[in-house]
Amino acid sequence: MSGGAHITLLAFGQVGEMVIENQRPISAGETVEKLLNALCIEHSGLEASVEHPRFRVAVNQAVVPFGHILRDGDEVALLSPVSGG
Amino acid sequence: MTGRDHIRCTDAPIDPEAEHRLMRGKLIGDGAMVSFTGIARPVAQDDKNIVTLRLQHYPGFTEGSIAKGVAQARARWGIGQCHIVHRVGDMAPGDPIVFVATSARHRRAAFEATDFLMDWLKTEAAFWKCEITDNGTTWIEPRAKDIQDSQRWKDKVDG
Repeated sequence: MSGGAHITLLAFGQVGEMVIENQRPISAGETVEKLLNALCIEHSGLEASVEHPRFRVAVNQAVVPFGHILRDGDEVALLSPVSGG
Repeated sequence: MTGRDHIRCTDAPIDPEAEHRLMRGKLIGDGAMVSFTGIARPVAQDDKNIVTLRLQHYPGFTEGSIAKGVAQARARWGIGQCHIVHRVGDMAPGDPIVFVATSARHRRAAFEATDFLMDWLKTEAAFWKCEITDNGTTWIEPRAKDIQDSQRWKDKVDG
């Protein structure tokens, strides 16, 4: 992997069928919202899921607002609306 | 989560009788233990026969989402022990999918806490479920009835 800041991207539920889990580079000061915008361009059909009122993003296992700034080494999880058990 | 809580997600089959015995062995001074076992249903929401039920979880995060419900149950009913085992991965209709048990000094608290925790698991816990039938794969969201059931507890607090 090249130098620079990277995150580990995870995706659960329906979103997990659209987004490939991987390591990806982030730019300085990149927010969750900017990441989501980039992912929506890369993956057709993702936008509708991201706009669902119960879609959430967790960083290092804690749900964060979309304005949250990502840091090198973060684990970022895209959480489709939960189904319950 | 306290030492009295056992929260486990597993891709191995659940043995409800063994979990029941494990829980009973931990009781200290409680006079009531209530348990619930959920079974994977054979029929999908679209009335098709389910071939496989697939449950996804986010290790650590999912257990944390369950622990929040347990903390609420403990604060509200003063339960003693709490034991929750949830199946994840692929399972067949008829397989136990969840085992929940709580204990308390008296029965009413254990009945209500177990009922509350099942509603919590059905609406708040971080699981993603899909039903696989001969028609394909369908991701499931909580049913209106599940949300309505969960709302009962909020209404009781607010009312």
